Amino acid sequence: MSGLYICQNGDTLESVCNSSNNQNLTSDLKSLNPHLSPSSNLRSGQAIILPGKTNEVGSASQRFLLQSSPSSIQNLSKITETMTGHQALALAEVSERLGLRDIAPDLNTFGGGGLGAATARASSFLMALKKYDDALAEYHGFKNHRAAPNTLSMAKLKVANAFKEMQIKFNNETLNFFNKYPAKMESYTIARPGRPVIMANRTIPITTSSGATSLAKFARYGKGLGYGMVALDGYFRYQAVDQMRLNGGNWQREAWAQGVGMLAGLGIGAYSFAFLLGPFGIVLGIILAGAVAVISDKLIVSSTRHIYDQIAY
Amino acid sequence: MKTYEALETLISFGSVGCILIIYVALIFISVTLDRRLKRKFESHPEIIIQETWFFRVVSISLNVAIKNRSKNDRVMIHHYKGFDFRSFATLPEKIFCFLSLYAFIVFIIILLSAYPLEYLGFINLGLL
Repeated sequence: MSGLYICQNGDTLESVCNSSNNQNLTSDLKSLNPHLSPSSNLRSGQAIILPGKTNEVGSASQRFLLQSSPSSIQNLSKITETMTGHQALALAEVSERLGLRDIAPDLNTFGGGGLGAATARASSFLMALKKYDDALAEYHGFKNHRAAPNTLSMAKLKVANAFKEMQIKFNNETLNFFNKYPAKMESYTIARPGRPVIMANRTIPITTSSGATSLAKFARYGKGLGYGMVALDGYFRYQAVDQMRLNGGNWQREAWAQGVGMLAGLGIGAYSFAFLLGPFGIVLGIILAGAVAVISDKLIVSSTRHIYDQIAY
Repeated sequence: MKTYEALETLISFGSVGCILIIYVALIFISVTLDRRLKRKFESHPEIIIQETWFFRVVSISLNVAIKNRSKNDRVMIHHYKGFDFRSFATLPEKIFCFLSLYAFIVFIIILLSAYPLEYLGFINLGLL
């Protein structure tokens, strides 16, 4: 298995080699990364190819580096700061299966539109989630109305079954990923003096060329998690206002509404993402936050138009 | 079906007002609690500070408002190692953290009620 290590500020190739548990890492690293000088500081976000256990050449990692532009690697660096390398690759695989890449041009408001559209594709999973939610609500209803113990235990069983079903559906989504990448990243653990950092957190396991391709695509559009999406969102909104101006409509009202909508979309997107992260996990967290951002965006834009009408006239 | 103008006004001012409250609360938290926490975390090298700025402030406000979130949440435990945010925050900071959480909940309630009301024809905000 080969891997990719995304550097932090102040890393040198030598420090990475010295602090590793693996003694043979130094020579392998230098031969795999001839373009890097051993002593000079590495840039933040620069990628280093890590050798595999069986001394195989990291061809899949090299393929990934060939397919990616520097800005993609920067995106990936930002993403691995938020989640671990394993999770980044899992998200790349799952989002590729859900077809997020095809609808990426429609992304809007904290990755809202595209990810919201993805909920339709992930419907079987969301339906399982709804079933669990319903079962839970029914159980609490029975409990609050002091139902008979038998009824209560049956409702409890229903909740347990619905939870199992939801787990199965989610596991199906990630099964492919875990079959490909068993967690064998302990060999890359680095303990730094003063600030222990688990290198596995920033190491992305790449074994197959298809994995490298999907990661390269993900890195390109995965900036939905960062600043790039905000700019894209702003561009779409500018277009909406411009279109209104060209059609002779009330463009001031539209500009006001879209401006507030953008601000609110950012806040609500980030808030729901942070809120949903814990119980639901990162993949579903992003999808649900996207869905919330989409419908809330419509409400905020319409509401602001209404307020503008009320105040202006 | 009759359209209720008062309901429209309530929903539109309510939703935009909630967003305003969330932003005011988050700005307050970012200039007070976030700065104090940064100084505090300098002496805790094992704690990884979240990036980006906005996401970190939201996380901090949720950590204060939801008890034990930094201990029980697998994402938060990775960053904050079970740090007790609530006892670290002062009373005004706690008030603003709760304010932002409740404004978000009220906003979601407004959101969930606006669409059915629009569908039934009680309001006409152009949502559907």
